[in-house]
Amino acid sequence: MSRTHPKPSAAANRPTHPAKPAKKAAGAVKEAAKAAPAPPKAPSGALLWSHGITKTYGDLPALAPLSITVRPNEAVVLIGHNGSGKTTFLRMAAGLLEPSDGTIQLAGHDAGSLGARAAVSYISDNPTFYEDLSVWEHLEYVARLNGRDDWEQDAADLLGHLGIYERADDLPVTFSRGLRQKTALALGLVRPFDLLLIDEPFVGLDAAGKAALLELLDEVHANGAALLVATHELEFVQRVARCIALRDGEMAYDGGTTGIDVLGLVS
Amino acid sequence: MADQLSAGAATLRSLRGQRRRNRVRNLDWFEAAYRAYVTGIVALVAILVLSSWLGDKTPSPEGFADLHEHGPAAIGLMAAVALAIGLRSGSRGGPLAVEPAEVRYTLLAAVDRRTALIGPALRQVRFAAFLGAVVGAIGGILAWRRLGDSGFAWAASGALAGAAIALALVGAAMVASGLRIRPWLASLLGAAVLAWAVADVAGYVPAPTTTLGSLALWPLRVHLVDLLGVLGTLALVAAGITLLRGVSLEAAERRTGLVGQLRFALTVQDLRTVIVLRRQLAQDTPRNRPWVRLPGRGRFVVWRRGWHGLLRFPAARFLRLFVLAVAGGICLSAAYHGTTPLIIVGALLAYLAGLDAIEPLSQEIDQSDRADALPIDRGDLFLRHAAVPAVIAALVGLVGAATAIVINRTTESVELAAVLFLPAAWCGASGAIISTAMSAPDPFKDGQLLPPEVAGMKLAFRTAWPLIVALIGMLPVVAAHRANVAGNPPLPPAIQAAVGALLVAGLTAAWLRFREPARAWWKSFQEEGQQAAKDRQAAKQGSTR
Repeated sequence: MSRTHPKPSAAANRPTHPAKPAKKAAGAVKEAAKAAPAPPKAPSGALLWSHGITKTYGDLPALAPLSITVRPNEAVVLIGHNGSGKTTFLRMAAGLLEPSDGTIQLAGHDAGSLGARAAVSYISDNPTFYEDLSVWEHLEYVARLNGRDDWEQDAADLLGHLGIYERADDLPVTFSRGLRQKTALALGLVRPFDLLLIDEPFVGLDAAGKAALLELLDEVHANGAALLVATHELEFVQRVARCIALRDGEMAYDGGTTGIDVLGLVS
Repeated sequence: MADQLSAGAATLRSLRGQRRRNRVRNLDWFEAAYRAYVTGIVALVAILVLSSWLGDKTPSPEGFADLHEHGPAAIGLMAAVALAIGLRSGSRGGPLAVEPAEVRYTLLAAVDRRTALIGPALRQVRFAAFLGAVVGAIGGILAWRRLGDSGFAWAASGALAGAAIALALVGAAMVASGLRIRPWLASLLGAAVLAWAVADVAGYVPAPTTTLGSLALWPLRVHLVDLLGVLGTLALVAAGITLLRGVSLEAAERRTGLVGQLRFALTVQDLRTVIVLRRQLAQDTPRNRPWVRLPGRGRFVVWRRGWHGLLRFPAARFLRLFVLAVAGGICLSAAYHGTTPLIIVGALLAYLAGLDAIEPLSQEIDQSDRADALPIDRGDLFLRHAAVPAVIAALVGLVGAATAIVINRTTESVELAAVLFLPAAWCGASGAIISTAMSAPDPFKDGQLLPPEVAGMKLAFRTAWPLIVALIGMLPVVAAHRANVAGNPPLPPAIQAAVGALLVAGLTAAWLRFREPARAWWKSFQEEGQQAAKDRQAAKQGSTR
């Protein structure tokens, strides 16, 4: 490669979520305060707290009143059949969808507010990219926009770990489904966060990619971040302690993963 | 966080600069110059057509007096329309349409949204002001040719009014988007603004939008109070920019993908795609549950399928059909009483109503693979699908007829309405069927063997033909009006013209039924001809040897 990117370090698996600066700017406080009618209070220490959130599309209910709490450093898998409301819930937590009713807060801020955006990294199941930026330029943009100046080594490590370091100077819009997914994962992991929301991260990945992602998620968790992963990947369900199952937009199960009948829950 | 915010803003600036440089580096200058050339030619032709239509005759003193009295309110009505459009657009997430990746990576980053959006917003404001000023200046120059005085003054006041009207549209959209005004409320506010402006045109109550109209007529007389309208517009834009932080990501993300596709569909004149995307943008989607469930199983499956689709129409679409029908009835009534050009508006309204009414047929045409998999001839299937739209179009026509009867309240109007409603409605629907069934023109197929001039004319005809068919449905009104002016009973010529219009609708149905077999026959005829020519050539070569 003709660029001067740092090479991935030998292990190429360093954690990629440094702590965020804690101070709040006036604008951030204003933005958080603007949308703050919250009669029921979030439990103390909850990183993600949703209370009675619903979503309807026209006359079609996508999510029944749903209350979920995720605490710091918790790893949670979200399962459910197609159309059960997993993506809707994750997109609402990320601030991309507005609840029809109810409250959803992240790190004490309303979803979508500046404070919440600083705490959450969301990786969609449908990666989108700028047409005129390479993978490396995307990484720089996302990392620096989220306040990381020391992003380069971590970015190189992430690309190395996911096996796309050699494609760093290519445009991701030209990539195959799997490579696009890997790029989206790198972009989600290169920025700082307290909670990682991922929607179907294993779709389109080859066996090596899946293994690399499982390792990365373990490391993210080991380094203190919380995870909420929507997936059908049974292997991942075995690696986490808590499972939430949705059925037709309603909570069907919330508990430990030991001995649960995953297939029964998603059918 | 403060450090992070300022760093984010600086990063945003520097990285956007980098993207701009990338774009300029990769720009195809030849392509850009060609686009500028085509835009220039189209604008020039439009100006020439408009100019020759307006003429350069100086108006009479009565005309001048009329202009003084009603001109400002009439031009102000355009400002009201702009405000209403802006409010509607803003309630759906407009006017900004950022890239999907911008929503995902910039608007979800820990960067103040106003900081992230102010660049695109200011660009949009600049562009709108520029476009409005250009259109306004052209209007001013055209007015100068008829009204005299200083050409520069007309161009300048026209440009100022045009820019202000365009800014009113963008400003209203930004405010509606920033405040997240619900679509129904935006429609209500827009209707109120429009009603106020119409009341001013009718001379009942002065509307604030009239100040912008009055501004365009400053070369005739100067009213400093008109500057309040400009100040109001600027305040609207400033408020919109201040409220950028409130933009809904859900609406922005929905809009971002659709607007790009919509522009492309418009470029390739794919009307059906434009309609489908516009409906998605307006969230004008079919109901999950029908208004009424059809009982039993029934014999006619295509007929039932049509009703299943229509009974899932959202309320907004039924309301639109009703409004189009009422407006059509008003237009035809006015055309009968002498404002003949309104038949063009009436035809357009009938065509638009037709586009909604033929939805079950359009769905079948969209899913042509499914139609091909059925053991039924495509033309036969399409014709069967036209039955339900014919009923709906007739009902729309009846509403229009009832409107005309209510306006006129005479036995003659009842008779005329009974004769005219069906040809008007069915020709509108026929126009809609033609434009949907023909689908988008394919530059690689349509006119491939024709010289460019002929291919261009063919394309223009193809675009205009559906509207011409809709216009044919309005001709009975013209026939009735002419007979009335000549002192003859209007009904007989209206019936004659109505029969002719219904014949055109019938021919459209026949075209829908036999288009595919006729095409297949023509193709095989051409192939046979080519084969015969090849055989002759081979025989000739054989005999030479």
